[in-house]
Amino acid sequence: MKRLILLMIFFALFTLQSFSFDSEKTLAQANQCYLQKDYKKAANLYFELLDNNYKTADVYFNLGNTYYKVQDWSSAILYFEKAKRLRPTDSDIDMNLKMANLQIIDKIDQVPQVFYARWYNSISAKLNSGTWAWLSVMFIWLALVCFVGFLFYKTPRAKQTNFGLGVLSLFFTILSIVIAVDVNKAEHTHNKGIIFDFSVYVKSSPGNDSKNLFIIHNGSKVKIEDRVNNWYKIKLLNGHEGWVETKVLKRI
Amino acid sequence: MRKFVFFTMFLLVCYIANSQTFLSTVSSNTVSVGEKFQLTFTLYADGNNFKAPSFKGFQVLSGPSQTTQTSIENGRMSRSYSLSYILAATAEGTFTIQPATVTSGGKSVQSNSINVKVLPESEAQKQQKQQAKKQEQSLGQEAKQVIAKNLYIRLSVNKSAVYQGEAVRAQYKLYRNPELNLVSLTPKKTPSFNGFWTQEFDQKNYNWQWEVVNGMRFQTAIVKEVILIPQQTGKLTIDPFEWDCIARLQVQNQNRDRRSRSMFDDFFDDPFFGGGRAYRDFDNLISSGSSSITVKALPDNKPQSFTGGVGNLKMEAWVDNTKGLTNEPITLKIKISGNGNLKIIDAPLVKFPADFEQYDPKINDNTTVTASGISGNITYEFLAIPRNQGKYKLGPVEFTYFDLASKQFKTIKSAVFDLTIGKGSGSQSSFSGSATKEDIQLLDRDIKYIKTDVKLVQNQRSFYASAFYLVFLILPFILFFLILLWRRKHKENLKNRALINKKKAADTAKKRLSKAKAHLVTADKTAFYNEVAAAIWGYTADKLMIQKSHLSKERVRELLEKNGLSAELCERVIKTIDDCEYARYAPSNDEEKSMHDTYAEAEKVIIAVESAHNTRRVQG
Repeated sequence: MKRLILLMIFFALFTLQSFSFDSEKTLAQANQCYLQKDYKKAANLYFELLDNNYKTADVYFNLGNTYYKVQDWSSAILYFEKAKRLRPTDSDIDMNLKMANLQIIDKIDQVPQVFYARWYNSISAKLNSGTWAWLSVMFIWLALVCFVGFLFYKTPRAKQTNFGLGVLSLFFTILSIVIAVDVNKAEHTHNKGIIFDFSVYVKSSPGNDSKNLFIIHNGSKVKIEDRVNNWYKIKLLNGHEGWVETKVLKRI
Repeated sequence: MRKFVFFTMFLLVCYIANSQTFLSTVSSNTVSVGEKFQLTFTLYADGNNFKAPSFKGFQVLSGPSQTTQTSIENGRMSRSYSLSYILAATAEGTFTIQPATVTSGGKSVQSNSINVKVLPESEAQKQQKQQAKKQEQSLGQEAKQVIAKNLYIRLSVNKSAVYQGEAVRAQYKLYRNPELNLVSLTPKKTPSFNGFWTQEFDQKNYNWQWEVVNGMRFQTAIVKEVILIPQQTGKLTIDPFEWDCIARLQVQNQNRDRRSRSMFDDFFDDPFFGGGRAYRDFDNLISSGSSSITVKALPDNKPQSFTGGVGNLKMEAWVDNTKGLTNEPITLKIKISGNGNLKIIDAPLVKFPADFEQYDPKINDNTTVTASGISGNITYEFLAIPRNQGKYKLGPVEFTYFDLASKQFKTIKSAVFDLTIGKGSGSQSSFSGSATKEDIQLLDRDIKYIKTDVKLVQNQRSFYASAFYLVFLILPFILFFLILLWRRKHKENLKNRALINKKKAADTAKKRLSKAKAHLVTADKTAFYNEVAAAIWGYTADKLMIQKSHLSKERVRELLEKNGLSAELCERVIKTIDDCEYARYAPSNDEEKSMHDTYAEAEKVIIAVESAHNTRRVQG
């Protein structure tokens, strides 16, 4: 009996705990702490929000800001990047990420892409996968309307117009589906990371006894291409490749 | 007669006196080659402006020498001047000595010319000359021998075969018999050691020592001592050291003693300078002679860290401060000590981590040159400035040298230095040199403030991942397919109905016409014409399988013609329709008749079209 009561109390507390989390209040509190320059407490509160699955771009952005204020550039860049993943079009996130990147040591120039790849990337980064999916739905319905119109209009001119519009809509449908698939894949693969160690020797192969290829520093963004035991194969934006231990970086 | 003779003589004397005031004479008109003779020009008057002839074929040995002679004859004083040359003939043959000229008493006076016959050299003369030459030669040679015996330089090299980079000592030692009377002794050509790196011993004052060589006491001194480090392989030559000396030797009087025995046999035995002995200075060149050594190349398996060191060497490396701060220099010192070619070793290769700004090493030379080579130590100081904080590994510093004892390359490795670099006082921005102008402008701005207007939503699945997405995507295709199906069916229906209508066209028309006939009976004019027109319209529409609403007269004609009806028949169809329309509104004289006519015409037209159609189908 006693046990049962205890169990009940435990469950009650548990459910209470899970329902008692007031996200709005926590956020307001965190923002207040940020304003009062109590960055440590603010960061903890933002983490609480994240732990309760409020993983929104705004929370990540604010967390990045608190780290920026305490000059922990690696963490700031990490959370700005996380925010950017969720909302690629936000100019504030872009701006702060750029600012944080100015503070770090490595200036890595991106290898210039071919123009169509550049266009594709800049267009696909504008919206998230859900929006692209909606767009593709919109276009396919538009295509449907156009083709039906093509069937029922009698005059050749109207038929032509409808057919053209239908084909165009169909093309946009396919394009937005492709982008949606791509963006979704990018949203679900965490293959980018931020270096957290002050300076890291990038090795030519996994293992400490291999050759040092170059050094990268905290805050640098790398692409993770492979993993062998506790070693990541990384690639910098400028195309340099090498191996680092998994512990030196955090995935975005 | 006597008077005449006297006069003639007088004239002659006068002539002689006049013409022979300037005379050329030779001591001998016949000479042999090389023999000396005297040529004299004598002027028995005052004169000046003497011009000697060219002595072609002769060699002037001395002269001119001038003599003046004064004589008093019969109370008359006369003066004569003479110029004499000593000449020697150079070649055999007959030569003419041309007259000389002089200005005397305002007149140019010429002397006489003289022929001299030059005979070939006599045998005795030749012999004498040769003997003298021989004597001179043998004298010189003997002097040389004597000097060589008593004054020489020896070159000694301590090794004859070495490795490239191995030190060799070359020593030039001067030996001198103190009894040799040296007038001067000066170095002429100091050796240049091609192919060697050289380090010379300081030899400011010669340290003369006594040494007995072959039972003779010599004064010796090392005049040059060099450490040579070959830089090339193969056979290298060590150059000789040459000195010029002038020695004064006693020689026997040649005139007295022409015996063939050596003039110097008793030279040094005789303490006295006896009569009949003379001294002469002899020039001589003494040379140490050259020596060659074989330089072997180092083995081919040179490790990468080999920087040229050869010998017996040691290396130590240390870092002054393993815990540094950014922007504060750290020094790595490498000390190479031992015995070998220390001075020409390149600095060991040291690569600081990439974050360090590395400077060229400072070299501290602490070596001495000894007989066995160069020994001591050389310290290389590598200065580097860490630019970023972190943990770095430096080294191991490797130093490879060729060990002469084991004839192998040996590598010395230092420990690995763990460097911990903390954050120094220097500002970070001071070295972020890559910041562009744009970057600096951006630095003035602050980051955007945190987001306060936040809609907090727990993470949801995106529309992309939901099943609705697929449904929405596929639904249009299904709809389109359905529409297509429906449309096809509808079209088929329409077509079927049209076919039926076509078959029934004549019947329908007949029905209509019979209806019209009823109106004809009742004389309902408007209804009659309407019915007739409708009958024709309907007939053509059904026949052509088009809708009535789409019909116009032009279209009917066009389609009928297309269906193969004659133009005349088409015209009749149109005309009937026109008549109907016209007659409906226009009053006619004989209405009954025209109605009958129209009816008949309509009937005929339909039958004609029908038959034309049928025949065409049969044909088709």
